[in-house]
Amino acid sequence: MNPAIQGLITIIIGVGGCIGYFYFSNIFLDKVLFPATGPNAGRNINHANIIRPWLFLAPALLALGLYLAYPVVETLRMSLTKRLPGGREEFVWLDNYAQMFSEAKFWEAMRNNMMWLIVVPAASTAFGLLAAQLTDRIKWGAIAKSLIFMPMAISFVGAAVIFKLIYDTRPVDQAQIGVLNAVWLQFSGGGMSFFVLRIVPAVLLLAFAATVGYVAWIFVRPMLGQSGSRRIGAGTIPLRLLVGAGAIWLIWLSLKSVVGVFGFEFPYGVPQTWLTIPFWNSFFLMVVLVWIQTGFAMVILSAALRGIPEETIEAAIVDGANPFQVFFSIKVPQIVGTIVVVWTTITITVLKVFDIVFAMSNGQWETQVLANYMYDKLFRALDWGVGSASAMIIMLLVSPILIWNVYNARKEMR
Amino acid sequence: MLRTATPEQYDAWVSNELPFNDPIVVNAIEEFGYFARNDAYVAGGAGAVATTDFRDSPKGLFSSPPQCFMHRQASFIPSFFPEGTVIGQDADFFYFPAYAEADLGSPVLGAGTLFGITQDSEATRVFMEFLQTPIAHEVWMAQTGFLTPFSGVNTEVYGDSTLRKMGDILLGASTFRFDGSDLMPGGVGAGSFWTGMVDYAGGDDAMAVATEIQSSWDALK
Repeated sequence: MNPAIQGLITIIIGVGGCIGYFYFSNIFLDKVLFPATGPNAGRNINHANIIRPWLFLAPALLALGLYLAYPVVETLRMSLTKRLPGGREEFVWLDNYAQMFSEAKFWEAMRNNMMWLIVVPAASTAFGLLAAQLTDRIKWGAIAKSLIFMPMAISFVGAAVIFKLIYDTRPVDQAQIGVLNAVWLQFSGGGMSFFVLRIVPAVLLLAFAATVGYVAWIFVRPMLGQSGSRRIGAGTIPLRLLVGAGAIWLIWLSLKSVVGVFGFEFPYGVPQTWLTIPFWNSFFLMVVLVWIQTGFAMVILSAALRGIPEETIEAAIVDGANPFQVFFSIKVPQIVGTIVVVWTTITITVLKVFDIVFAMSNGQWETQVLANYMYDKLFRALDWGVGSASAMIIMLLVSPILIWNVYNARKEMR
Repeated sequence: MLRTATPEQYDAWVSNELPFNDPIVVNAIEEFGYFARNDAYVAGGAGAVATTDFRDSPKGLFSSPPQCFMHRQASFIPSFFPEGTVIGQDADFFYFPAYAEADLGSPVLGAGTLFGITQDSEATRVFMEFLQTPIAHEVWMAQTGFLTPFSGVNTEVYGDSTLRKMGDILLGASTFRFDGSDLMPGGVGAGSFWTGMVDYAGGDDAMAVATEIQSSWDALK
């Protein structure tokens, strides 16, 4: 049978089956089990109403219990065991965790995940906010939004293949099919190269340093102006000091890099294998996820921007605010809640990133991430113990964000 | 490994009696590096070794101007040659020679099919005996897609001249072994050995890479 017809029939059976289950089970409950006629009509109706929610939730509860709740418990149990030849298992308690923590590749995966966590949600949210604001009032805004949202429609592996072709490298004298290398070969050390390869990165690094400094200043200032209006809790002081120290370190790195950019010997005319450059190849991989998630951020933030009351903006314009002031002082503070939700949702996606790293570099050249590490341990090394242990670590990393999301959602509900 | 070490050393390496960072193994890695890490010997330079998909690797032989003249691969590679390539006319092959000074004969690395009896019976036993006669192999050889190490066959019967040449290489081997990474446990053969050699091709030190692989093998025990 034609696969398209097969797919169509599957969709009809799947969707029809779901609708049918709810419809017919409802009828069964109301007409057969607890009919609303006869001497017990009132009691029957009450019983039916009590059972109905459970009846509708039953399939979902069953599926979630079997495919979500049970695996969590089983993974925890498996992370404490070690497989023996012959199919048996023995309890080794925390040995798997000890073995995992002693592997350099695991710590590399952790470091890379932290880098992904810091860069990708920030970049996606920032670009999404920018796109949402810029496409707001223009005529072709809808078309622009659709184009930016399109990457969300393809799978992560599809995006990984696309970008693998963009980063492709051919030997020096052959025609390059990778866009990035084709652009790179245009540079030859002249004026344009100087501008794009030295001035622009230097400016970006200085902007990064300025942003880090500003964020750290927000954290540290309340500590310095203690006599001000707001008292801060003593418990937050270590966190503020940590943020301040981290910011100083990042600013120092950026300034050093600015100096380095001007002295760097660029290999003009030689196609680069982008994915093998240590440290920077992770950023080339992050571009893929940012490309996908920007559409998501843009759509949600666009809705949030539309929800801002017009009067606040008009009042600001009447008072003489320029567009930047209107954006940063009026609009952004009013959608901070949405920005946080978008940020945390993208963070959860980033912590699970696997397909992109698997399809593009398989964790080679120091790009390993936790999810790919887990896959490698579980299905290549067939080490269920260490694989389950790494799965538990991923769950531990995601939990705080999930708990905080739920806590925020419940706070808003009240 | 087969061209620089004795078969006994190879077997010891595969079972980890010979540690991975033994000088014999590191020497074999560096012999590979003599070719793979030399920009003048590799199409696209040493950096292309680890980043080129193996299905794209023969393309350099057929491009114009050619990127390379020789390619070392296994017998399945003609399926990745361009359409219409005739072996013997557009491309040809020869036995990858062993070192004359090493005096290790002609080792050959390959894969094989094993026949086994799962339910003993008269018929299966007779079939196994049949498989040990030359005619069982020659019938198959006259078709295509079959190579045999049975020294009692008449290699003229091969239906394909390419297969006949391969068959002669197989029968002329003094040592035959299966692929080492397939024989090692999965976490090494498909895991740290693979990533370690990619790191080596990218420029890491051979002894450092070998020690890393050995420590991962120890962790598996």
